Formats: sequence, structure tokens, C-alpha cells
Amino acid sequence: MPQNKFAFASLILGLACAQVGAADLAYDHYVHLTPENSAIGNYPAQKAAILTIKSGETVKIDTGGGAGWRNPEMAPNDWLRKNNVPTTADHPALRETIAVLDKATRYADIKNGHLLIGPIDVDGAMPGDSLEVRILSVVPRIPYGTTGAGPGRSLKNADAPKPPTHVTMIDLKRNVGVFESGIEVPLGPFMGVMAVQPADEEGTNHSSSPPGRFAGNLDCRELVTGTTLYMPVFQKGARFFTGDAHAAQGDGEITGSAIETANTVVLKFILHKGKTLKMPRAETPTHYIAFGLDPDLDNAMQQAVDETLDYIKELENWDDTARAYSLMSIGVDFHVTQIVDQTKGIHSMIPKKIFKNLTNTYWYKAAKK
Amino acid sequence: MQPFHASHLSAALLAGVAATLSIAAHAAPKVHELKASPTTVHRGFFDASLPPVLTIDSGDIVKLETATGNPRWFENLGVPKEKIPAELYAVFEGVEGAGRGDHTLNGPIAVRGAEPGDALEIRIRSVDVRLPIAGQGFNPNRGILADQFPYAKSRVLWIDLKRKVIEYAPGVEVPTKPFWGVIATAPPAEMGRVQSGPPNFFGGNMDNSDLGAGATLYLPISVAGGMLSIGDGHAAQGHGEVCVSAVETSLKGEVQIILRKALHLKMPRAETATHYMTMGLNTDLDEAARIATSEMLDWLVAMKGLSRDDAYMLMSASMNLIVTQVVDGTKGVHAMMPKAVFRK
Repeated sequence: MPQNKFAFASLILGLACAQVGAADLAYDHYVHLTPENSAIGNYPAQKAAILTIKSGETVKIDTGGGAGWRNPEMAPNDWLRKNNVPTTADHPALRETIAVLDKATRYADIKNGHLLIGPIDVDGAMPGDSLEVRILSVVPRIPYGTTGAGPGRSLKNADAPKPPTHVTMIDLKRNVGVFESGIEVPLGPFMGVMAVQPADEEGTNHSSSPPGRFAGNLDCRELVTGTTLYMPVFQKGARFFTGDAHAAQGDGEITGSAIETANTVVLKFILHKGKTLKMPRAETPTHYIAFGLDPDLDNAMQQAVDETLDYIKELENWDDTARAYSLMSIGVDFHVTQIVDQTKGIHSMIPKKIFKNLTNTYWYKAAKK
Repeated sequence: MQPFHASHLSAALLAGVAATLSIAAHAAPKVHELKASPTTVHRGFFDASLPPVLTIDSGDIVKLETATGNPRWFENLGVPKEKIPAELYAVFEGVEGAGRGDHTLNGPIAVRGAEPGDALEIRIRSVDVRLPIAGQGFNPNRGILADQFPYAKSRVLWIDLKRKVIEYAPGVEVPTKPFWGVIATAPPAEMGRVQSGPPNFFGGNMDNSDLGAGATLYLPISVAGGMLSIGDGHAAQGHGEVCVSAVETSLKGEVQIILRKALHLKMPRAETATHYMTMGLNTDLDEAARIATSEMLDWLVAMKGLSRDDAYMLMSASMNLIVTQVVDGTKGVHAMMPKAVFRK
């Protein structure tokens, strides 16, 4: 296909994502937000797959969120009215979220936490393989999101006597979150949690709060529409979960929450047989991303550097570690992903443009602004 | 607890706009030149007792040429003498040893009327690479992967001044993004002579690649005159500076220096065209992240009239925490709050 035609198609795709959302993207499977499709706050190894797909297939997934009325406990409609949210609990996404909170099976006595969808099995996936998830589209499905500040998170409560919740209205047309009159945050919707089932030694009901080798609650603001996450596979079928819908978040996620909302996502799953990864990796149209995860930020940094070193050596077929190390010092940026999920995160941004001999055949081209 | 009058800063920032206007309305600011030479630089330390090499008034502009790269260091790596700029020989005349000489610092510059408790606003009007030769390296026990690299390595890097790239390896080019790693006021006299390696509340070796052309840095003043030092030119550096060095080279540029009375800053702050920036500096990266966040919280509350609760949550939704560097003993995290978020 000629280059300009390609660009035009990508432009249309980009516009479609921004304006009409995921609705008209083609997909092979549609997973609705139901109690049966949900797990809450953990990755239950005992839960049967809700769907089995083939490598290369796409799945549209509705996720839940926006239930700010639970803290403090209020009737949903009262809470929506009090926060001037122009919708009611009859909104399909809220109705589905309420049903999930009421009826979803709880595992290992974990009552609350991330609203997750899954597990989705990928046919043929085995430990030692890796799973590529292309994020074709992420779009908020409710007109608002909530941000809280739990005590004991990064700033040790600042001066906040009780955790307040802030409601941000989402304006999809203008692509901003209206924090308050005069303050608008650009949207960058992404899923805080994308995970494969953790390895056996990490337990059968691993909490979804700390991220790990299985990815999980990375809370990485880079993982928006048009990016790709690569995860090591630890279990037969890989068993993919997603949830924790964010409309926007800063690097660091300092209060412990982003603009928490409900998203509809369209994901494409590609299985890489025999391609073993130690840690998750990611890719954007412009950067490669490596992760470091540890309760201590210094150790997370160390791991992110190790991972980046391996990534660069692999990309460039270098066996000269010293050269990659020095290049990292001058050409790669390290960001604080989040400092609030117990296991903290650092991610590196490796610019593709510094590698002149790499042909960038990446699947997604960002729409021109 | 140290008193901190953050509200003064926003007031002073407004006053800054007025001051700029009045500067423009009255007379062009005075322009000084300060080129690196044996009599205008000090190396590897800060000291309140150093006499100034230049004294200026608030609002004046200083045209700087800084020098990084000891000719002996290049010679030891096999660079022929004729490829080493003669002026580097002049600047490094009489220097013992063959270290790279990164922290060859121009200054100190005294600002008339500056007193402890005031702040210097340093507007980086331009900063550019001026010589094509640069150095990089790592040493045992330095750098974040010291365990994997228990040896030293040095290399010369050549900068393509026209194409503004560093030819790193076949097929690998890093675009230049020049900035000064060290910008400091003098530490308080009671601290004596302070090594320039770790950054501190008076600035210093911040190694912050977001402090390039167009950035404005605010530094607290600890001694009369402020006594500003600038150097450690970097042609490019990643956030993190993981192996301990950037593309270390000689830079030129213009800074405008404005005295801000009684700001009582605790820590350096900065602005770019698009962001407000605060810094956390600590040997522990977690603590550095906490300080940067807390500093931005204070600033936003004072400047934008937000409640502390709202500012805290707004930061979570839109502010980025970036690893400045992890190799200077005292590590750095800086917070970047986008200005575009504020419509009023």
C-alpha cells in the first residue's frame, strides 16, 4: 500500500478514536461488563476463562467504574446529583457497574478493589511464551471520573483530614477533563491494570494492587490508544485480565488515584511462542518502554536500567554492554510511573528515532495534529 | 520548621512581569561577557568566600562561554593535538591531573543588593553547543549499574554542530539538547567549601535536562551577592543520567539574572514555557519524589489559590514525576506540572 494512503487511513482511524470512540472499530469478540465476567481486587486462579480466543483476534471489552458513591456510602443517584453529574444510575455503564459490585463472586475473601474483567485465554499460550496486546482503542464510557486521596499514600495524607473525592467531568469532544472551572486536564485514557495470571509461586489470588512481572496495575500513563504491551506468560492460556479504567493520570499518580472512570477498550492479542520475557515491556509509535518494579524506588530504578540495557542490546544486536550503558545515560529518559501501588514503578522511554538503522514498521501511526 | 512564605513567590512572579515591562520600557539591560579562563573559573567546589569575577545589577544579561574538557584527557584517549581546540589548552593551563574537568564553573557572579532570603531568577535565554568535541565515561563505584561495570571507561564524542546530533555509534544518533548541569548560588558561609558533585538546596549539580533554553530557574540566596556559578555543559543527557555522565562539552549562551527580594525559597524551582517545575533532592529516591511533590503542592496552592486537597488530586491527574539523575550522590526527582491545565 502506498505510504500516503497508509497515512490517510491512520488519520481516519485516529479521528475515529477521538470522536466516535471504539464503537465502529471491527472486533472478533465482545466482552460485556457483567458479574460473571468480573473479578474484584485479585487475579483468581480458580476462575474459569470467560472467553478463549485465537492469537491475532481482537476483543472489545466494556469495563466498569465511576462508583464514587461507595466512599462515603451514598445512594448512587444522590451522589451523582450532589456532584452535579448529569446522568443517573440508569446509565448502562453505571447500571452494569452496580450489578457487578452487588453480584460478582468474591474470591479469597477479597471484597473490594479494582473492577477487573477476565480471565481471557489465548489458545496455545504456555509458560515461557509472551503475549503482545495491541491497544487499538481506549474510550471513557461515562461522562465523569473520580480522583481520591487515600490516607497513607505518597504525601502521608498531606493536610487532608479525610479522603476527599474529586469529580472531574469528561469532555470527549474537546478531549479534556474539566477539573474545575478554568482548570482542564488533557485526556489520555488507558487501563491501569492489564495482567496475565501470575506464576504459581505468587499465589492463587494475587492482589491486583501491586504490579509485577505479570504486568498488572502498572498505572503507566503511556499505555494509551496506539501503544502495545508485552507480557511474559506464566500459565497455560496466559489468562488476561484488565480493569482500573483511567481517563488521565500524571507520572507518579501521587494521591493513589488517576481520573478513575469506566472505559471501553478494543485490544488485539498476539501470542509469541517461545519468546520469553523477564518483565513486561511496551512500545509506542515513538518509544520503547522498559519497566522496573519494586517497593523501593531506588531498586525499581535499578531494575528499569537493567531492563533498558537488555532492551537496547536486543534492538541493536549489541553485545557491548558498556556502549548501551553510556547511550542510556544520554539518550533515554526515566520516569516515575507511580509511587502508590506498594510496588513502585519506574519506566524508561527509549526514543526510536535515535536508532537510524531500525525500520519502524510499528502498527500504529499517530494522527497528525 | 523553616518559615516559608510561598505567597510571596506568586506576588513576586507578578511583580516580575511588571519588572520585565519596565526594563523594556526604560533601557535595554546591560550585557556582560564572561568567558571561561584561568581567572574566571573555579573547579569542583562552591565556596561563599570566593571573590566574584563579575558584579552585575538585577536585570543584566551575561553572555557566557563555559569550557568542559581537559586537553590532557582528550590526548590520553588518542585525540591528536590539532583536533583539540586551542582555547581548551588556555582554560586548562596549570591544571594538575588529566581528569575531564566537567565542573569547570564560570563565576561566581555577584548581584548587587542580593541578600540571604532573596532569590535569583535565572532566565536561560539561549544555550548552545560551541565546540564539536565532547567526552563521556563511567568510573568504578559510580553509576547505577556499578556492580556490572567495576571498571572505568572513557570515550570522545563528536558533535555535528550543523545537524545538531551526536554520532554515537553506526546508525545511532542522539539529538543535541544542550543545558548546563551546574547552576548554583554560593552555599552559606558556615558550610565552608562544598564539593560540587551532589546538588543541594542552592542548586548546583542538578543535571536537569529540562533546564535548557527558555527555562527560568529560581535559586534561594544564602550569602550577600548571591554568587552565581554556572558550568558543566551537557550537549545531551537522558533523565536519570544513569552511567554518571552526559555528553560533557563546552557551551555558550545568554542568561538574564533578576533579583527577587525576600522570596524565602526552600528549594530550587523552575519554569519552562509549558511547565512549572519543582525539585526533590535526597540520597533516597522515594524521599526525593516526596519532596518534589510537596514543593509543587505548596507552589500551586500559593499561586493558583487551590485548596491543598484539590491541588493534591490535580497533581495526581496531570503532573509528571521524572527521575532527574541517580548518580550524583544526592539523587533528584523533578515534578513537571503542565501550565496548559490552567485556563485562567
